[in-house]
Amino acid sequence: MNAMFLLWMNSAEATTMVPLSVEQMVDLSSTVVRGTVTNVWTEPDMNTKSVWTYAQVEVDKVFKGQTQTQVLVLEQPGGSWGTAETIVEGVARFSVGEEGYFFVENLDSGRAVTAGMFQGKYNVIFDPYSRQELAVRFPVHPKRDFDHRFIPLPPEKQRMSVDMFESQIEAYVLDGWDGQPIPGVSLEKLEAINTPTTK
Amino acid sequence: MISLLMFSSTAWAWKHTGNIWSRDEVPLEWYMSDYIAETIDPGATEIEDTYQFQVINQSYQNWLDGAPCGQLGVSYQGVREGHHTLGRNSADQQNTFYYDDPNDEQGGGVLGVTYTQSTGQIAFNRDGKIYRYNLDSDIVFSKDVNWIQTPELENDCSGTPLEAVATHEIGHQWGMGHSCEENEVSAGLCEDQELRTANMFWAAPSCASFDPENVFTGDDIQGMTALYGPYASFEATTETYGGVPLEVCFELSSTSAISNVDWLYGDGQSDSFDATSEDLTETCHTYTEKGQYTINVTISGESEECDEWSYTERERAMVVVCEVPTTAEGFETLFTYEPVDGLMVRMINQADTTVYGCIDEIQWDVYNGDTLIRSVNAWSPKVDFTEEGAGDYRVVLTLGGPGGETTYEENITVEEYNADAGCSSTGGGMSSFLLSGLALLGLARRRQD
Repeated sequence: MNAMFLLWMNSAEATTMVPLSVEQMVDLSSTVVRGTVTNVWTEPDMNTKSVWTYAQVEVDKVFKGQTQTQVLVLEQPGGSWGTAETIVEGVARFSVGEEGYFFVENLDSGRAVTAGMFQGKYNVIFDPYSRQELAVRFPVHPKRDFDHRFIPLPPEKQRMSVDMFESQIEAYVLDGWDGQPIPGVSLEKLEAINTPTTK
Repeated sequence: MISLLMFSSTAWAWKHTGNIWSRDEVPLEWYMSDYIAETIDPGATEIEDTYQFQVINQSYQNWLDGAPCGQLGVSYQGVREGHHTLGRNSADQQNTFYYDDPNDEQGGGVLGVTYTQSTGQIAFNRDGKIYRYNLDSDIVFSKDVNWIQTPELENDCSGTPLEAVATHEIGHQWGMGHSCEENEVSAGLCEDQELRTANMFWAAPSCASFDPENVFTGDDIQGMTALYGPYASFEATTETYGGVPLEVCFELSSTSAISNVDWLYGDGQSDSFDATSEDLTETCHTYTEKGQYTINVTISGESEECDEWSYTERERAMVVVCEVPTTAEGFETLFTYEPVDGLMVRMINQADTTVYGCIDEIQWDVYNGDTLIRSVNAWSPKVDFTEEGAGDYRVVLTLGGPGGETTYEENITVEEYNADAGCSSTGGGMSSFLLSGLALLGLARRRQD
């Protein structure tokens, strides 16, 4: 298998996205949780000859989805495996020990990805000024290391407490899908994801 | 004659993926998979009669016309019969366009992805980044997207213009990265409209803002020209990551004749060189304040293909200069603490985090007398003293980074705290806890190594 990957070497993948609101991410996610990343690893995809990164998340709180969920495995394209390296712009990055909110979309292929790639992951950091936990998004360039412990404090106007963020999520979950389309997801799938609650 | 105007260097921020096609591979060959997206071309039977085929041609042409100095070229090779059901393959060396995401890899909010595979062979090293030659580059458009055809834009603006996304993805296929990423926008580092309205901006343009007559900004064109047109590059010959003061030296190289060089070091300082200068290719600069610095070099010269040319090469956050970790604005001490519940205490890190990368080591050591009882490497950890009980403890915080190491210690008093009642059970409530904490600040000792 290693010999095959020698042929792949590295690849760069780049993406066009639409900015998703928190409401849209709730709508297209089958699972929304707060949890802690406990393991990160990579594996090759033999069909597409790309490397994928996996993150195991221990769930602390479920906002949407199966309430008994205790552990999730999230997937994102990109990463290094042996001599193979796949570089993808716009993906969520993970590091062991990070605590955050994860919006999980289940693809028909069976993969569980963060909604809208990096958009579907918020880290929890502690704000020494307000003495509150904040929910922040901090995408890092694919070629720079990601260490959640040193995420910069966002500018004051962009600081959102986890209480406020959780209230938003809970309100959107309660409201259910508003019937509006979201690029990249079929209406049928959105309806199926949000069947338990309708607006 | 193609003449590129001089411009303000700070305006440009194009970025490359680090993948490039060998000149031997240009004109670039491309294929269509054997699938017609019904939502784009209902009822169509021949791929080459469809809009989804025409838009690829048009999007390639946008780059050919927009960046003539890049001397790009493409060559359509036909439909890959029976291929769509197999899905993309990043190693088959056939650059193929797919609609409706046959491998189902692209979820909500994703419009298109370019999957590029490298041969592994190094093309060149520019600005510290290694560029490798491409082997294969496939472009996959997502399913369940309301694509709008360019001729219909005036009548229907309810979805996403396919031409905008196809042109963007083809930009990636040639080797272009994003002009700005989302976090750069939110951090105020992407205010220039040349960047925000570039075709290579991270998010797709809205239907209303897409102008098929003006697909690109100068940033897109300069980036593509830098990839395939005449170019010069620079790299640092000394460390670019360290403590103040930090002298960084840069070396310029080019296969073209350079007549002028203008450096912007990112800290407000600059240097200019011309043919009369003793050395046109080397410069050094000393940074005296902490920060993350972007380096611009504007080069002008002449080449046979483009006549007079000028462009700016820019390396974002190339230099990171750090001071010894210190307290953030508004704080007097590196950390403080507050009760959480019971005998659990939150240590509150008040260090300055404005320059990502200037702190890369952290350790909290908690002592009971002279005995080390805890070592934690989280940022603002909660420490549980249930095992040891209420009492006085000594906490030492050590922060390290390229600028040096700071150690700060403080004696803390841990008391039983009732989070529901918001008070300490030993009397005096929250205010007495805080007062005791404040009083102890006077005992705090700070040491900088």
